[in-house]
Amino acid sequence: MSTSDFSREVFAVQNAEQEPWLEQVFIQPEEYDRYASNRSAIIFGAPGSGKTALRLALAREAGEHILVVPWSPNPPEKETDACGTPLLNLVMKQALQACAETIVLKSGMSARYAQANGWVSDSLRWFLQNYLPFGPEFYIQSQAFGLKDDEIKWYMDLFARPAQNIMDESLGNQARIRLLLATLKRAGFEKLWLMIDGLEKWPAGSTGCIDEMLDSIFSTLAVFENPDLVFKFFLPESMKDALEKTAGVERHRVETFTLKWDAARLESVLAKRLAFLCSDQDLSRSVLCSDPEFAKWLSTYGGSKPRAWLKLAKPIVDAWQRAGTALKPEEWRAIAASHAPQLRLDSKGRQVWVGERSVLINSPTEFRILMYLYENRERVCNMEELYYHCIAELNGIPEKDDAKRIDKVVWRRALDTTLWRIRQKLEPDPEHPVYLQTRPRQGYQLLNTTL
Amino acid sequence: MMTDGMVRFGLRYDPFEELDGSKDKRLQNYYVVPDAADLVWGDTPVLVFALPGGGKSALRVYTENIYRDSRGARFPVTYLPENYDTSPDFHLNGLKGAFARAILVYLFSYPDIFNVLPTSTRRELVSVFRYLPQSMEFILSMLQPGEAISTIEETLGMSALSGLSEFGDAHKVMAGLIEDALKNQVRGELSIEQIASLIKDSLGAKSIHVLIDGLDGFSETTSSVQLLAWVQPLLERVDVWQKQDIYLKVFLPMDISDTFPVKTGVSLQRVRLGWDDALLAELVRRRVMAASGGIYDSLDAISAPDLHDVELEIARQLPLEKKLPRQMILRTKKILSKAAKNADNLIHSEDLFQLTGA
Repeated sequence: MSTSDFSREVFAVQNAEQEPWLEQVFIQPEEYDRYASNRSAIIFGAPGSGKTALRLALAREAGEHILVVPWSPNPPEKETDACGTPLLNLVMKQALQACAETIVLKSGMSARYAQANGWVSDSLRWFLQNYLPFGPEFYIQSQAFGLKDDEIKWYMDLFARPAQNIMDESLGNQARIRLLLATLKRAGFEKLWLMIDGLEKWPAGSTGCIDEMLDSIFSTLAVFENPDLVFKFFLPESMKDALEKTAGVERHRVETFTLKWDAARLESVLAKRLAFLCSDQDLSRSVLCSDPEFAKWLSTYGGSKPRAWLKLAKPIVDAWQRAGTALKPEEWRAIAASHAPQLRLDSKGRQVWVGERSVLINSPTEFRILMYLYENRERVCNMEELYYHCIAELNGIPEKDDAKRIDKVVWRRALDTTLWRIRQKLEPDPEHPVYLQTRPRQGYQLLNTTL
Repeated sequence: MMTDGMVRFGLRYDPFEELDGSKDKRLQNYYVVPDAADLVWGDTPVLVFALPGGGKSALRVYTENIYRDSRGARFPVTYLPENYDTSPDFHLNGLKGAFARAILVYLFSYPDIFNVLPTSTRRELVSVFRYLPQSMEFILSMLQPGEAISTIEETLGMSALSGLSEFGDAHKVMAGLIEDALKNQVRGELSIEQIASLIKDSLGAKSIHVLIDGLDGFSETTSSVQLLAWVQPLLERVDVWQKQDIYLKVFLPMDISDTFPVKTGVSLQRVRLGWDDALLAELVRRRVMAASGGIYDSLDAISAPDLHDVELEIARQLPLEKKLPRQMILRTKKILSKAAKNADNLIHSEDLFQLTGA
């Protein structure tokens, strides 16, 4: 991989799970110590705010005495209309299955339990037999990739032991969880952390199902009764309002946080990745460019999200590496213009963003024009359609003999003024627009957009 | 987690860490008894109402310990349903499990009692263990030298209340006798009344106090109507059980206290847990005293000289609807974490008053 390719990788963060160097470049967000405490927590964060990186860091730094189980709940089967406690039981069964897989794949259990016998072995055997998918023997032999031969043998010997009647099948999950925790303690795991992430990956239309599932979890106080079972939920910020009304949150059984990054920490995020890229611990953001406007630009369009900062910085880092020296103000500005932060619109919320900068478009006419251009961003929109659709609010361009048709001379000025105002609000440099582009003798097109 | 701030204040642990009384292993060290507690502890069935964070679970745990100290004369049984299920016998089956756990934990505390019981009584008593969440054979396999009894208690869902840590010779004898008795245990279903008689006759209990908590801890029972319907089968037994010295103490949310339709022939006491500023202040003082190892007993000791009665001031600042132990602990925690950032490690008036209304 060339240096440039490498910088592209280090700064092109889309998924923290695909960053093998994450440990070397991780910067703790605010309140990290509280996230790392042995209390159940919900950590809310917008996409790109570093939820997954935080989860991985907490798992990495949890220590030998904590078994960390990553768990991405699956949506319940479509045909089930479970809610409340039945839904909770379905979900907790999934959690226990995740525990069983982690025990086999990550815990080094055979080494920890080398001396174990009696009830501990019986209990572990019972648990794995009940919760490993596909049957325990098949799972160990065919699914548990990465297990060494002696570990496979250890598990197969465990499953060969005569089964003991341990627990009434009709009992709820809490009794099972308690037994699991007692068993894990004998292996040196004082706590079990369940890390819940990935709910954004549920298929569209599952929102109600996610809400229902989370409501059933957070309304059931028994879930949070055991101090040795710690939940860390990593959830989109959009779920915050609904969850704050649940009993678990209201009664402080689970703490809630919103992932926060101030500019200084985000500067550190950049600096650490630069240092990693160049194997030089003393690098800071200013090596790229000392222009104070550069820092301001990052802050304005990167907002408070690490991913947005890295995305903005990537082409600048590439250019800096090619140049071998700090960029001049005109150089970084040219790069910034050719790699403009993406523009996106939310028609329902009537919100417009350029990168992470929220753009206030109060005028309904301006928003209609912008929305029309956004919806037709693949093509050039001519002035007539902009006027008749967005200002006259007609469904189409009237025919030549239609009374609604107005001479262009009458409305041209109004349209020009509206477009000028949009540019003033939208463009970093309205004299050199990068979003609302004029196509001579054709019309206008919105560029640098994203969904 | 012990925070740096608490170390700076000379505290050996964070006495404000645990917001939930039922999880607080140090509760006995600093519990403040609310006014109505005497009524709860008496030989009478009682409904205890409190707001969330109003000390229901803490009182339940403390009450269980009080009864435990009576060495079995007042026999505590704690029932915390772990599932929401409306089948007719759900609570009765749950209660049988709770009775079985209570008997086993009692025997952990006094194994010699079991060891001197007549064989026939031992057989009757172990027959209750069929209602334990785990099989008795499995539990016996846990009863091995070197095994912590607290592990077994926690596995059973008992919060390790017996205070016993080691498996001793008496336990070893008891385990052997239980194993023998299980081979010839009394078969057939047992009723709650039969189990209660066994406890009284064989373990010498004068009365049995069934502490029921957590009924409102399910998404279904956030609805008062469903909660009332769910509790009703238990309350229908109050009269019959009281005649057999079985007293139900049911801990319920305050919001259903006015609409609670109890139709029983006995006087079912109703208690509403309430807290005034003085009690809430005392709650903080005791925690501070316990955590500082008795070095100081008021936040005044770690406050600027112009501040007095700091705990009382914190309590006064709480709005009326938040004059509750959990809110008091939360507020104190916030003030201490703010004060921990001060260079002189003292609470200043701005730490105290800036949080007003927070």
